[in-house]
Amino acid sequence: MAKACRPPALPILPNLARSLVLLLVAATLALVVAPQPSHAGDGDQILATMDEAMTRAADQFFEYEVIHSDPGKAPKHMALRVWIKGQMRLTEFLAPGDMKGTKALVRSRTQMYLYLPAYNKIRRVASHATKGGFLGTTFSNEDISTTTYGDVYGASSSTEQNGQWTVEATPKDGIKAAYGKLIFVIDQKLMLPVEIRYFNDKGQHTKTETRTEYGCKGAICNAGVMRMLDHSRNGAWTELRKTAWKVNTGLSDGEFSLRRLQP
Amino acid sequence: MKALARLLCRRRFAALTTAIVLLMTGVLAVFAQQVEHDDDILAFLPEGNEDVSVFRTINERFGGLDVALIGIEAGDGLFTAAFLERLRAATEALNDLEQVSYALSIANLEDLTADLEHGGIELKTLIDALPQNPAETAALREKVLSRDTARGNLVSADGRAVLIYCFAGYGSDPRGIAQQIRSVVSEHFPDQPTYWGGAPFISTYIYDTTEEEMARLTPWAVIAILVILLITFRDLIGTVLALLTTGMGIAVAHGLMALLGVKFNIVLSSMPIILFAVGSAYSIHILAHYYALEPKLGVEKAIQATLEHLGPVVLAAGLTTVAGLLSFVMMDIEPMRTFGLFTALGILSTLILSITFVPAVIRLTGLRRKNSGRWTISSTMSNLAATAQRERRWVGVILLACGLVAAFHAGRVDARMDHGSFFSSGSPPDLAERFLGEHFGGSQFIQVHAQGDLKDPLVLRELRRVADRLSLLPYVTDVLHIGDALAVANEALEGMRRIPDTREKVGLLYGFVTGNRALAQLVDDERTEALLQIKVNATRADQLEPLLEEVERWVAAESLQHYRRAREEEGDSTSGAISARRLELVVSRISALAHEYKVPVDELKKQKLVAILSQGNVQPEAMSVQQGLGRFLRSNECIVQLPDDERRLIDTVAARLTSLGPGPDEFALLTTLQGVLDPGVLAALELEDLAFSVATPIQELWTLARARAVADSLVREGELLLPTGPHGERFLLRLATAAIDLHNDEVLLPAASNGTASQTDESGSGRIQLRVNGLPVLHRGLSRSVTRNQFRSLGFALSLVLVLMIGFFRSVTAGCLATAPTAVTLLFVFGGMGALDVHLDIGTSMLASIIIGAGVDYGVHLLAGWHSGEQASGGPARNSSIEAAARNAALQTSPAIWTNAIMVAAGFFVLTLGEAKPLQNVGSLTAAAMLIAGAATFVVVPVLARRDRYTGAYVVPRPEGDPTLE
Repeated sequence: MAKACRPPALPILPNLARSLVLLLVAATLALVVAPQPSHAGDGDQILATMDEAMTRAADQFFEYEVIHSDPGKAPKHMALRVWIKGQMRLTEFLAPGDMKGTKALVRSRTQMYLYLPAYNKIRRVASHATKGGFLGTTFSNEDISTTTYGDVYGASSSTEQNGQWTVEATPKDGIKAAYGKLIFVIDQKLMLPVEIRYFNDKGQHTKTETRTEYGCKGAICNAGVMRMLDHSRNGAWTELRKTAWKVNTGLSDGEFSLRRLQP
Repeated sequence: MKALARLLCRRRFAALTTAIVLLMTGVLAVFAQQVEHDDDILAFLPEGNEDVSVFRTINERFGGLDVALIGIEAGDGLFTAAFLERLRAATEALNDLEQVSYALSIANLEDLTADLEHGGIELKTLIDALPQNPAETAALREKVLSRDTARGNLVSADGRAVLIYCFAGYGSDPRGIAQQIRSVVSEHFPDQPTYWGGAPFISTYIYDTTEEEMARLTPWAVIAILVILLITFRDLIGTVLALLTTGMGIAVAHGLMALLGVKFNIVLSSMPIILFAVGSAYSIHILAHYYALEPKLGVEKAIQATLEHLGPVVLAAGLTTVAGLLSFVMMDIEPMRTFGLFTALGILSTLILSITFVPAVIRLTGLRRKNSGRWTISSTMSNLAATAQRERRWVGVILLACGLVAAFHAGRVDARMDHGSFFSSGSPPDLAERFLGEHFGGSQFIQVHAQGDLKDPLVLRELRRVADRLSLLPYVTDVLHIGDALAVANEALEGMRRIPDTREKVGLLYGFVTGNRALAQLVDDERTEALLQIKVNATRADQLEPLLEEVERWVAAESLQHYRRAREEEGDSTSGAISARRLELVVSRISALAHEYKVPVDELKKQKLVAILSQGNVQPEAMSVQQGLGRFLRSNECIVQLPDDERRLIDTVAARLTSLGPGPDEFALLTTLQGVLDPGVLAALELEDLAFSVATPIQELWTLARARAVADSLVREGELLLPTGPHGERFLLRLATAAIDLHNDEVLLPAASNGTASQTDESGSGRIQLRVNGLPVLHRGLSRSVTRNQFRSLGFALSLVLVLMIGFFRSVTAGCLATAPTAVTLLFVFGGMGALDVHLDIGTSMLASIIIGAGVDYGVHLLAGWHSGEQASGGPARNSSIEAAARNAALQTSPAIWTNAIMVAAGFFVLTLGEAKPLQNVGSLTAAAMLIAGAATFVVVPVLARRDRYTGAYVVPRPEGDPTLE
């Protein structure tokens, strides 16, 4: 009966830092690059070609609008700018207002520096947690920090249909990965993923990421919309819509120094 | 009735009636299979109750009903690799469930620590590596138990039990999610004792147990009724016919529900037993009378005589039951109204079938009883009734005395809704409650719903003051609030676990914690509404309700509902009030911390602490600032890396910067750095960067040093007894953090009412609305609703029954007389409840109407048979004549009355054999009530009767030669 209504004890989580990893998201978004038609029938070769296509630009700049929707709740909006060069990424939040001006400098997968305007300080955050989500979005830390796939996953099968490769990949021996299986649907013309299906260790299909509205600047192509649908969260989804994009602008390494964080 | 009797005696009409009834029932039985079930737990919440409607709104907004709690007893092996590996796998599997939006345990709890080597903070999972040997196991145990976020929330303080939280996804089905979670956890922990708490498990338990018990016990109740019928009736065909009409009544009720789109609820699962027990009586009365008359009159005349003479009595008796059940429509709980309406429809169907279908079948089959037995109860009851009439004064006095005692105890019956109303001691939810109480500080929560400007740090501090104060109340083990969550996040950014000073900092922290399911239960997305979750280690209403009253009293009297911001400025006339308010906030915080860390602080000691805090002349240690600054300059967090050469340049820089004191401006920093650093060590731009980089750390370090000095003096001069080990060190740090608020410039001061604006306006005024809610409030609301419903339905049922009786007997006196035994029964039953400390709840509140409905039958039948055998004289009856009437009536009606009473009692008694507490209460009390009603009929009516005949035209002739009535 009604008596069953019981709120739980709430552990006050140190979820701040987990959420901070959100700042990595923009940095990863630009890793989708140029078309490289490949006729390789072997799955591993296809993945290698895709990885190469995703990491071709010398540097890039993006602006993204982020929309997150949880069933039963109003959508949340964010906006951010991202500069990328090699493994280095600098992200600046433009919205929501509370986070405006916050910057994150990522120098490696686990090293991040934050500039927090409200605190007027720079904070170093070392993160080793990869499975958690951030800011309630459907992207996990692992999703956003993965720039290439071939080094972690090996193809177990590949098929060709309607101008697309479908490659099924599982973690390579001895490598611990967040997912038990990934299925890539790769556009043969662009050699870039249009859909990635994520499966857990038990083979359950947990998430689907779609990358659409590709645009190209020379040999470098990039998805205009990336949408991650989480099947295990009643269909919650997060969408990143690209609003600005520049490639090979000649960013120097100095643009990714700590000093670049301060106002 | 005569016309109907004549029609039914025609074979063709009887065949037509039978065919139509069978066809209609068959069709409705098909529809009955399609009736949908409604498992919505909130449907039982009373409508129109303000507390309940707030509870609904809050739970929809904050999702308080969506959390499943799984406790696992691990014993000494909790921190072993084997157990932790299984816990990790189970947590992952739970997170993969479609209906679970997030599962949390110590296996995936993230942990923020200061990175002493490189500076900044490090984020890892709390258990980032499984222990490989006893030393690592011990170290991990110490680490996990040192975390406030884990200890007492996810792992018990003794390190022997863990708790997993499962937050249900939007719109998930509680039953489905409970089943999935149970399956996953049982698979990973097949041998460990596991406990299933939280709304999904408890509501599922209540529903499943009740439904399973009803499914399991109903056949037994029917068998019990069947056996009693066979023993008393000694006729298989007649018995089957009586039960068939009841089954048809159930099919009609369920079929109509399906046709009208009404969903089946858990209370309706008791309908079959009520119908079998109560509804079969009508056919039995008809059959019994027919059997008595048939040997002498033949089939057709016996049918005719039975319907003419007994039909109106059965109809009147049945209608009282229908009236009793219809009284449920006066309740403010929708499923109860549905129950009352459709059970009444079922009873009405069996009633109609008993005077149509049953005679028709009799006519078609020429039913005859092969043998019959004799009743000894008839003579016993006859003697009892005659004695009661003869010794009416003495019996009356005894009845009155018993009534007064019963009334005294009945006055003590109160509505009390707590978990004891829904599950028995030793049941899984009860075990889960005990487990949660023992290891995790309880499972009940009182919530304080707050509305206000929750981005304002001063408003958050006021909420914290409320939380601190309430945390000191008895049974309260913890108070969780968004201020605390933000303080934890703030600690990661500026090293101090406190509510940040500025609105901007609060806003930024909110941005970072967005989306966390645990925090979503503390604050809404708009940051205008929050919940203070008061964890209580008490489950009984007599513990919770006084606590609730105290919380409500405090919130109403002591909390700051209208405020104005006040900043301390020189010459300000309010500076005294500001200081007092600031001191109050800090003392509240310290008292709560002392309570949390079990540091004894009595009133005297508290006064001492206030005196120490008021002095304000504590000197911070510059050395701790200098050391902290040195660490910062060497860390990777410092923008500019200084060469740490033999001259110990960094220590020198740190010392010189420390000497500037707290809050040096940019110019002072630059000139100091220029003075201490040789030209060429840093470029001009680098000097500026360094000045920027050290400014905030210097300020933070001085703040912390000053607060630490205050904390030291509080411990030293206040003679506080610190806990030993890291726990004591943690307390000291939090004490210091609390002391920082002594230097806040701004506070909120009470203000006159300023309208309804919840946001702080331009003048600095605003409003904080607090309202106490939560499950205990809901239970109280339900208790009040139950009491109200009890009076409403009782009044409605009694009035309707009285009107029916007066109409039937065409006499107010006779109407009251027929109702009197039921009134006495109610008094005795409620007196018994009071004496045995049985409370009114949703289940027991059904009693009165059922007793009225079923019990009045007996009075009707007794009065219908009430005649002395002499011709009515028209004047007052002689005593001997009344005694003869009592004797005759009892002789004639006692077998049927007792058959029915025992049948109903047996049917309901079977319910007490199950595990479902609501069924146990209703079953045992209804069974007792029916037996009391049976006995009361043969005592109360004879005591009160002053005439030798009440039935007017409806005299039921005593059938000659009927052995069942001898």
